Amino acid sequence: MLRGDTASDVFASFVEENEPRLRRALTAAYGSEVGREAAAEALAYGWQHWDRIGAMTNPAGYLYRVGWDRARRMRQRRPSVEQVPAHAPEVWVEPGLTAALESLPEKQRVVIALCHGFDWSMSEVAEFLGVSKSTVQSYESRGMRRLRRSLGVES
Amino acid sequence: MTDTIREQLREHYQALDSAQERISWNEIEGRVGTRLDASPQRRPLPRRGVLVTALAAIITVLLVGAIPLLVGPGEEPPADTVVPNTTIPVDPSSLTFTRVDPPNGETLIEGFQVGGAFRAVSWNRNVWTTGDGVAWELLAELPPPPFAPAARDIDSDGARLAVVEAVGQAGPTGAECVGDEYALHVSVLDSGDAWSAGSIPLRLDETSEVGCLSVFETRITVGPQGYMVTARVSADLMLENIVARELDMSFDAVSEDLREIRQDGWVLEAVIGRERHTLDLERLGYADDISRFVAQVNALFPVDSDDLISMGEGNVVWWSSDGDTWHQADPSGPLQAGGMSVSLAPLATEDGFLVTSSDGGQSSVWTTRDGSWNHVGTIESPAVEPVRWGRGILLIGDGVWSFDGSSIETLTADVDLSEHHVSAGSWGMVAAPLFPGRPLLFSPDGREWVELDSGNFGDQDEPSLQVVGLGDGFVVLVEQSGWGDDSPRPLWIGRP
Repeated sequence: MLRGDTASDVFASFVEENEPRLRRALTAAYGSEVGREAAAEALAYGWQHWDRIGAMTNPAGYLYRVGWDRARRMRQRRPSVEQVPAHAPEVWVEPGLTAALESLPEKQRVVIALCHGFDWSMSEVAEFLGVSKSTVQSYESRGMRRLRRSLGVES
Repeated sequence: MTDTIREQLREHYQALDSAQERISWNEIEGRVGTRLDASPQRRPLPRRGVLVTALAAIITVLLVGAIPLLVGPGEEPPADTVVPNTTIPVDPSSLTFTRVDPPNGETLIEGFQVGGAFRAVSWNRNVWTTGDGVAWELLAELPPPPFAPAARDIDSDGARLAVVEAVGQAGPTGAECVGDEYALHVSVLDSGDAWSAGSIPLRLDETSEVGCLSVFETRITVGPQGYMVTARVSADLMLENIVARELDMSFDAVSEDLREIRQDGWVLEAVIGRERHTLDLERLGYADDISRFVAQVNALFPVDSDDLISMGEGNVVWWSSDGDTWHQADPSGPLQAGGMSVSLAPLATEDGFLVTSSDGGQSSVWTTRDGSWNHVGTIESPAVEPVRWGRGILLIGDGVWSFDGSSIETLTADVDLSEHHVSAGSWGMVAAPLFPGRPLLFSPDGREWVELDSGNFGDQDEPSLQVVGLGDGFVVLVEQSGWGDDSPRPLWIGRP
């Protein structure tokens, strides 16, 4: 890399901190394959334009939008939610959970994944997605309600 | 069971995540290199100016290439030319959208309806105004910022427009994470071109060891006697330097509200998330002589009454007549009927507040003017948060409702309108998407809705849209997401 060490260091630090957030959010929306690819493309775009993006108030949120844009172009009726792969650590989840998540609108699924899958606070999700906290609360509430309904859990 | 679902969600996503390879630095560099290799003229990465120029040229070509689709072959639209493009039939009326040029070719970052006009701020720190989207007037330039230019948030009311810049010792918050003294610098443009400015210090003892403090969701509410500024302040603590007990806070609870309404009128809220090294602080403040506001956890509303009300989580309602002395409101009514959540919205025409309390399924609807409650009815919808949407129109849960002050009636049921809501004069309303790619939803009366694909408005497939009312119509400000963001943002005017 020919860019200055300082910029590289700053961006590397940014990647270290934000790569999981970006990848997880996009994976929650578009599935592992498309989500990871979109996150990688967004980070590449971020490095290309780091002089400008690094000065933004919420560069991670901006790159989420970039990744979102890339993912929407790549997605071709691929499933957005996968079963846990066989080589993943042994874990038991409700068999209907994958289908229930797949049935959620994208926004609700992303918020549910970030809030409950990865323990983000609603404020963090709101800032990252660029929406208000009340909007995140709305998506979370609706998403959980639909999940409960889909899984036959009424309370 | 809900906890079980949450545990299942955590297990599910953690397992998926552990099976996924992280994106490495080498992979990022490789992708950048591949992209440059694939370009017609390979250039080394450090020549960013050249790269930007090349990208700008590509974007320009794409834009120029798109223009014939809008105005006809071989023609480039002259400045201020209105180009009819899209007509949306909505029985019994219709909307026609026309694309207009941004003023002086500048990129508008955010706009508002101010009185009967549309005002917008550009990246060039200019404030433009227009009454029709065609003729633009340069109204003012933003005042010099204390630090680097960063218009964090802009809000308006009446003929005034405010710019809020949150800065710290080293620059705009979020860009740098150093120091423990920050301030919100507020500049207000009156109906003419005169600015007034003030500063709200953000120095909180609890954040003395803050690693990074950021400010977001800033709002300004204009009242008869001054301005009220609200902001969410998020502080990332370096917990290795702070022992939890020193803060007298527990990290065992999923969320724990610590809310203090102090005698000086400031509201300080701290929310502690479980196992999170983050402390969210919300400071709601208002000028000493402001006495007509209602305060909610995330919102403050001006009201036409002499009272203040504050409703927080846990169904605690506080009432004040002067902002100094607070009383808990009558605990009957929505507090007893409460359940999972209690929310409120101001009712501009009824001089009071609409309050909803929900058990997660049904919602009880109440009104209050003085702290006592009037039960309006019960609706089959969870009241996530009531939203006032135009005159006599409310958005509650999954429905749109009309409310005449005494009874509530369904206009639209079971629709997903959790978007940005804009009223447009006597014609109707629009739900604008918060996420790119979502359609705009238009309605003349709150009953019938029509969708318009957001892709109609941008040079890309799924741009982000900001929709602002303009008289009886709308202004649509397009934000290109992703690769085309360097170009001026298209503007559209929608009129019945």
